[in-house]
Amino acid sequence: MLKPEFPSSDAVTAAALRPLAPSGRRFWALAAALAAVVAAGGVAYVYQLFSGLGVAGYSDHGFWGIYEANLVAFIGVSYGGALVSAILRLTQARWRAPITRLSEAMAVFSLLAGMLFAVIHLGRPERIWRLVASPQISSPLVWDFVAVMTYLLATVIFLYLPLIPDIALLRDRFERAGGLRFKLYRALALNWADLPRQHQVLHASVSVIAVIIIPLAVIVHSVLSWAFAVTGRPGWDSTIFAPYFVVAALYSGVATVIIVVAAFRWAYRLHDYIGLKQLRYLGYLMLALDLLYLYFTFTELLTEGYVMNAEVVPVLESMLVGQYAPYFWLFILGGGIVPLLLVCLPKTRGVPGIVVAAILVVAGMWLKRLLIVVPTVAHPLIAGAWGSFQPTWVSMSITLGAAAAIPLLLMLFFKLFPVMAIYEMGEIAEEARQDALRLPVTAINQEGLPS
Amino acid sequence: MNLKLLATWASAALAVCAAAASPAVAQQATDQGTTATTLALSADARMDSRGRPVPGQLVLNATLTQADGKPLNNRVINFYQQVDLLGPHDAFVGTANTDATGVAALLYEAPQPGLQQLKARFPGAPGYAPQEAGTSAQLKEGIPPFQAEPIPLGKVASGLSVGALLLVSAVWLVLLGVLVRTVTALRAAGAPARERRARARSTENISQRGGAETISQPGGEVST
Amino acid sequence: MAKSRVALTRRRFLTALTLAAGGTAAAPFVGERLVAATSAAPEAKHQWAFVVDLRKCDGCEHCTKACQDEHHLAKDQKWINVYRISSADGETHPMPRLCMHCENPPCLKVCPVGATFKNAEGVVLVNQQTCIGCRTCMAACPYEARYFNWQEPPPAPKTLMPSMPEFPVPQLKGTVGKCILCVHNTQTGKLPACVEGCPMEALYIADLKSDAATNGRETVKLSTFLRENDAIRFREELGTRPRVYYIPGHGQKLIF
Repeated sequence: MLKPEFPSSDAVTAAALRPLAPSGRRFWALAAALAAVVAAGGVAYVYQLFSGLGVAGYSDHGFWGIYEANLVAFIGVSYGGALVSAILRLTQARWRAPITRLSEAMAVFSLLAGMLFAVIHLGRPERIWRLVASPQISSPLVWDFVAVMTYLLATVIFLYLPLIPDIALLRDRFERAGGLRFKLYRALALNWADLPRQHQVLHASVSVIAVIIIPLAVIVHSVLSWAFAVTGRPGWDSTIFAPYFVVAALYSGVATVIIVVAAFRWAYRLHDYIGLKQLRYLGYLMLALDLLYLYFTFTELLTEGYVMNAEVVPVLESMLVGQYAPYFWLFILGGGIVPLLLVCLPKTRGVPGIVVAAILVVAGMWLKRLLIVVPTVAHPLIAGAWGSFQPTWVSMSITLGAAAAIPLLLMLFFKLFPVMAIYEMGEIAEEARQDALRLPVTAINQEGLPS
Repeated sequence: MNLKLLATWASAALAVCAAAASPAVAQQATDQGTTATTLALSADARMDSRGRPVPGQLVLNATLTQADGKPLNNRVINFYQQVDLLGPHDAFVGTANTDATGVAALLYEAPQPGLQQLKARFPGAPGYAPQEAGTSAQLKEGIPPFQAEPIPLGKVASGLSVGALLLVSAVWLVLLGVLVRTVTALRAAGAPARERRARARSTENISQRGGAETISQPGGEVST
Repeated sequence: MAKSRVALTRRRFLTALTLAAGGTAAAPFVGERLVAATSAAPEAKHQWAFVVDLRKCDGCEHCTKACQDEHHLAKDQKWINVYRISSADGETHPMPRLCMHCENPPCLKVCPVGATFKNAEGVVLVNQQTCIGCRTCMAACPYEARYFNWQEPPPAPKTLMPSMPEFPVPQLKGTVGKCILCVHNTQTGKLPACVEGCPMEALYIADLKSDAATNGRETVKLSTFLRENDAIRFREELGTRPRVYYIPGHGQKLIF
């Protein structure tokens, strides 16, 4: 392996705390713009509350649509963020250090946005307390509720624990200034003083959570798929659905991590710490998941198309050659093949190419979620005309509002907390230095390892 | 198994005794140009091949005769059962044709135990006046035609629910346990603020890092 | 050395937590709603069912109208909906579809708050006072028998009765509605609105308990009637065990 360059801890600290400095006009302009989009979504939701779900574009032959697709898409993105961080942590990939914080925070905020749609899609949101008060355990929605709440707890812990040493650093810096901010840091830093015992406890806890969060995320997204699969409708009635959803979530999640990392790298000039290397490795991860997702898509279509079950054929037909075919092939091309090429070809494998590929993937995967939901719902089960789901300004505003909330929350969160894991980066730099001292031994051992 | 058979046999025997032999309310009808007919209806327990009554089953025998007592052959008799379905109704049970002795027989299965009120009706034929007769029978047992079937794999489903609940509870306990344990351990281990600040100023990071390294050596163990 | 000590502690810690979870945590959850109660009470006086005699149906949709008038429904809510089924010879035949009041209702299982239930007489009902409007039941119903109140439903005249599962009038915005087999009528000895409104006498309300069915004019012994006319249930292969029986007619196909 190449010997990575690890910047000095002072430089890292300075860079990671850059967002905490008073922000310029551009920051506040962007924040205001995002807040305006969020507010517009809020207004649209109030309108929907008073007028009924009909104004969002629903009908009896299109009873699920954009909100359900959003729910899956946002929670999927969150899943990718948490898994990237957890897997890289467990495999001790050293290049992870500058990007784990960003992906963990993204995981929490996109999960919150996804959970929002679980409420927004209800006809009677004010009765959601009944899910806790009188749940019926046989319902896949109750499974969803339990799974997502569990996952939320896990992602928050997963974000918080590695943050503790960095918060302690901030506490020490803000001690002189005092104020509310210092009190917040002091409360959250838990007497952290980088003592051996503290290091040991924290390291153990982070490892446990990183181990737990991987199967947890897999289960959460499987459960989400079962809300569709257990209804037995043509197009959803598929045993492949759970892993299919899991891979979809990972795929779109890694793409979102790329976008978030690239955006913060650009906005706060973190080029020295988040290199092309990080983005390219994430790009390779996305590439592998791209192929995996295309494989799953093909597998599903092959068995359905080969068997030609009379109930499934109309749905399949509408997707491959019928009214939904333009969208489907747009997804295959824009969300599958073009990102694949962009990451594969050496010419486009730069930062812009990878970011464009990631944007295509996120948009394409959102489209794919709509394509999972809508044709199956619109397909007439007995006889008669196809239904449809046509998004309206209400549902589009709410969707955009929730999407804008994620970057806004990230921007504000990193006004308070370091954008990179300073402590962890220091640790890894130290490790690298130790390795460099023992270079001959390490080299022999690495050669001895199978690949 | 045998006991149960015996029990059903016994109760069926009782039912036969109860099966009222209150036969034949015959009525005369005299219309212009038609012959009056007589209809008699009886409900008897049905016997199986060993001569034992089959619980819940009756054989309805309707005897159709002319006024002079001669049986009427090959005539349609309709059978009805009185039911309470949004008010009293005569529910059509079935049809049988009379034989050479004037008897039309129909197997009747009682949906519920209790009093069975039955009717036979001769709708009339060219030259013969319509006729009706009723009878009733008390049955100890019925044969419900539709029984609630158990839901397949119901027990597996309950087991799965319990298992899933246990799993979820375990995950919550682990997550919260890790959080609580970390928070308490970090707070307990942390020195008071003054001492901490002093240490941060005086000691080099390396000495602490070195201490941490000997405990956990992250990376070293995995990569070598 | 130190490393192994940490790992051991952690493992012991996890084991203890898991055991504790097994012992205590699930207890409060194991309630009555653990598995959806899908069977009606067999001791009830009636077990309602329904028969559609397709030999008689001419597709006039009077049943739909009668139902909508009875329950003050919006025009697009067709709790009994007359589908036009195409047969192999290219002709279309009418087929009224109401709620099948399944013995194993898929809609009931998936309801997260237990708002859908089967009453003692076997009728599947929706409690619009507790329905959260998630529409999972609509996804689960293979008969498209459920309708959502997307807008404020049409106004209904003031009645003495409040809206309740047995008489959901007026419908509540943001909740799901469906055929209730007119339990408000059958409780008071009246025929369901669609049976009453069918000029062809093709619809029968049936009682599995007394084994009889009536269309208001003629009454039949249900089991004999179904057997002798080769009655079938819609999409038997799904295992939903509907309580609505169809007597085939017009040569139309019912299972496809």
